Amino acid sequence: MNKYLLIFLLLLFSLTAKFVVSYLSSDQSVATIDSKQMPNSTAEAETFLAKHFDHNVLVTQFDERILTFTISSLKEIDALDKIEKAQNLEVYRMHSISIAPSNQVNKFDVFVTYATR
Amino acid sequence: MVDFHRYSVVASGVRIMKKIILRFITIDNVEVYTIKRGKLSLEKRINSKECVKFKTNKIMLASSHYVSSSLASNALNFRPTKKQFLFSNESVLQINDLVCLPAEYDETLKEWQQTWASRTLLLRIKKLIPSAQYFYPDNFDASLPEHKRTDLSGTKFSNNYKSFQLEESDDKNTKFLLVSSAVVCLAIAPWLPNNFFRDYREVPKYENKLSIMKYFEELAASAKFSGLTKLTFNKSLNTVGAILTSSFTEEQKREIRKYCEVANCIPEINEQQVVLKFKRGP
Repeated sequence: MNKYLLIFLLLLFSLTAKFVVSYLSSDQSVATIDSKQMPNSTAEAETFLAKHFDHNVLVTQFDERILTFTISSLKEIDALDKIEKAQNLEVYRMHSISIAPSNQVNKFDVFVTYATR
Repeated sequence: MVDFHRYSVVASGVRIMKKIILRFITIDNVEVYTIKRGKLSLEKRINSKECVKFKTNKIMLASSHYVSSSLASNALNFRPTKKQFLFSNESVLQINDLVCLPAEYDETLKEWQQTWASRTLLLRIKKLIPSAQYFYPDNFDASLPEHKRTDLSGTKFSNNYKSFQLEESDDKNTKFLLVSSAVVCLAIAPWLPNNFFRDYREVPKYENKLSIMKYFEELAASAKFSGLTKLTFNKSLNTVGAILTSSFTEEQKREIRKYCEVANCIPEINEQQVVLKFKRGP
């Protein structure tokens, strides 16, 4: 057999085997995340959450146990959207979500708390 | 007409006619032999263009395509190695264009004999017959005088006779090594851990869906809540808390208790605040 064909078959075999192994061992309960993307400070947490929620976020507490933040002055439809997004953030465990009327008329504040460990 | 395919075997996906040998005399004169019971039998003569039809790996070289010479044993005071060429003074070929068979000692004539050929010439023949691997000089039957070698029918032939074999050039070997190294690297790459190049870590994924939310919507609609000051969904405690601007009416309290009987929750109602504790999720 052509030796070039043989080594390309090796490559094909390796890729196929990797695909099969990955497919069979895929674990939905574990996410592989670049640790550099995970926040380590309040400022980083605000950037991280602002990116996820597509809105400015005020982090009121961020330590090794808890992450609490507020998203302020949202229209009702936006508040519902942020509540939905809060449920979709999977890297922290949800503790609670509160919604309360904002200082501005017909607007709401959303308070979210996650456990960080 | 001989059915040459009768002799063919499938080897590694290429049809190699193991029982066929081509004798290359000139570009327009190539003899096709079959090997029957170890003896050659001339089937036909063809020109070199027709050679591609015969995917044989055995080629016999007519005497004009190689050179043989001998050296008296006493002229040599050492035993030549397999790759040693003894006739560099006689050969007009450059050393890098030379392929030689190992020198053989003839006991009867008391001399060293060696046969050599031009690599360029063999490569040219190989171009005409790409499957060619073994180039046999046609002097393997020493008893057969050269002038009688017009037709080798009836001559014994064995695959074990010494033959020229073209070694692959260093360039080809280097290219193969490079390609195989690259392919091996590519084959290994997917198996490397993700954190081999970057600082990755695995973190647990959490299911953060608040199923209690939609159930509370049903209650809010039936109890006609108005003036909500704060609404809290606590996933850890599996509770829903609501604070109103005014106290709950008796009607609203009844609706809450009625709802909790169905939804399997415990209501804690104060003046303006209610907390629904769900037992196992509503």
